[in-house]
Amino acid sequence: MNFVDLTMPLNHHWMPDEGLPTAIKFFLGPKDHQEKGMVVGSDSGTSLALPSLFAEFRKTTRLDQVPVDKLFLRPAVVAHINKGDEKEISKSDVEEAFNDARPAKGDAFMISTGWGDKPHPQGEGNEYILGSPHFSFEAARILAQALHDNENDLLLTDTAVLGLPKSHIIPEWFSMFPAPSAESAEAHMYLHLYDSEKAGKDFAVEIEFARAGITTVRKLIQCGRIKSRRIKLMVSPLNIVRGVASTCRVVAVEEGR
Amino acid sequence: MRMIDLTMPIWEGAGYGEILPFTNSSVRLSEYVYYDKHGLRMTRMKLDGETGSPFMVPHQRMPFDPTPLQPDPKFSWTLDQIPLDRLILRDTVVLDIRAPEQHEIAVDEMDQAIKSADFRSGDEVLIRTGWGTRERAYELGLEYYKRTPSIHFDAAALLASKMDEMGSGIFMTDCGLVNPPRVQGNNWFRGESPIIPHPKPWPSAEARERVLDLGAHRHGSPHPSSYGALIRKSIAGCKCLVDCDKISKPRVKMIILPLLIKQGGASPCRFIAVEE
Repeated sequence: MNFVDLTMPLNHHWMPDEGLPTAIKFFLGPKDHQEKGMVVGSDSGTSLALPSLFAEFRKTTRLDQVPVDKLFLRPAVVAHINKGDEKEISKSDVEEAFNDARPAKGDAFMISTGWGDKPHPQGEGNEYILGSPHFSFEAARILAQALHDNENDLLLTDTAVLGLPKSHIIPEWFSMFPAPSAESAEAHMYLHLYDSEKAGKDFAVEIEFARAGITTVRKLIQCGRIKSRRIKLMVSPLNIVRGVASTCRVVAVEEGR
Repeated sequence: MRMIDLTMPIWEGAGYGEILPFTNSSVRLSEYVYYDKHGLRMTRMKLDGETGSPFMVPHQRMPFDPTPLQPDPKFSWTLDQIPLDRLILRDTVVLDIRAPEQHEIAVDEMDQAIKSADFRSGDEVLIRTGWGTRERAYELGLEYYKRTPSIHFDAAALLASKMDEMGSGIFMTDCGLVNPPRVQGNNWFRGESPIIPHPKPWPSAEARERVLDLGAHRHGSPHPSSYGALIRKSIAGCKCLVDCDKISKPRVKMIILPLLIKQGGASPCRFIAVEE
């Protein structure tokens, strides 16, 4: 049995995913610090999002209600979508990946693009987010339907984002120079002026997966170390009462290796 | 195969974050993206290494202070250094010691539990009192930790010796505190001069004054630390597990997954028992 840790480490020196105004800086406080302990965002590092992340589906399952067999030792199939320099994952990409991977009913579905195998944690700037492969809306719609029809209600990917928030957040936030940091006054003001209409466009891809009842996990790393098509997964979010999203630990189990 | 979640949930105001002056600070969950305004929710979470059911290594103060809690620990891994095969599907012996509230597990009880169990070489250890449950934690709040069963130093020393002999690495329990409340909460919520009304934990004025009084972040009890005895021989100490009575077998495999904190010393953790 071979274990592969697919988790982006929570590093108090530097995280590559804190460029967006919606991010929280991961912080560790020593014992004498006012904030002793840690501060973490619900999508810091490798993170899981339930459909209930979105208001439209808020009456659905919360983190402390997820059956344990949905997350631990969950049979899964690994699909590969290697985009090279082209970043948008298209409808034909997901159709081909789904057909090649042949998930069994009830499997979790993991997509490895190779993005999580690059040395992002050592990199500077926002390339990890802005350069990430991401689903087109049409690809998300097709994949969400296929996953839903096959009872594959857990989608995992090594991309930084599912959809790129290019309607509002990217042109508005990244046009500021120098770029403000997460939790800055600028970030608070940006979110103050941000609303559900804008979010509906920026998060259209994520909402499409949620609409199909699919829990998503993103920002996996080292998926390239998995050699088997079929694996078992352990997906371990924090057990937050009424929570809808959480940083999490993800480990792949390859049997017979 | 049957899986049982033994993880204490995390919620704002949970008793484990309110009861002690230093070792476990308050849980604060703050929404900053809202359902009603943004159509989705995002949360800033202020946690502690000891939030929920914690996983704590001997060098618990890492990455800021490499000094272990006890001198010369057998294991020196930080959270990101522990091999996955020491965390996943670990053979675990359940040591049954039924304990009512406020009971301190005595050395003869520990001895009897060890002798009665099917304790095999390399096993991890789960001390099950049956007292720790999710419902009780929700209902009792702070009282959960005032009333919790705990482990007397002599019993802990015996178990530590046995774990060392058997090559065990991880110690788990459904006690809310490993040290007796009279030790851990000495002159805070127990002892000769508990503070009334109960103060908030660090960084409260009372907690800061306690550092001035004691000269350090410590419990100040003259009695030895049960947890200290155990952590010297362990990869990690884990407390505050819940619902262990749902385990129906004397041996299980445990999935133990703390957060992957680079050079970290303690983390909230998920504990899943697997019965085959």
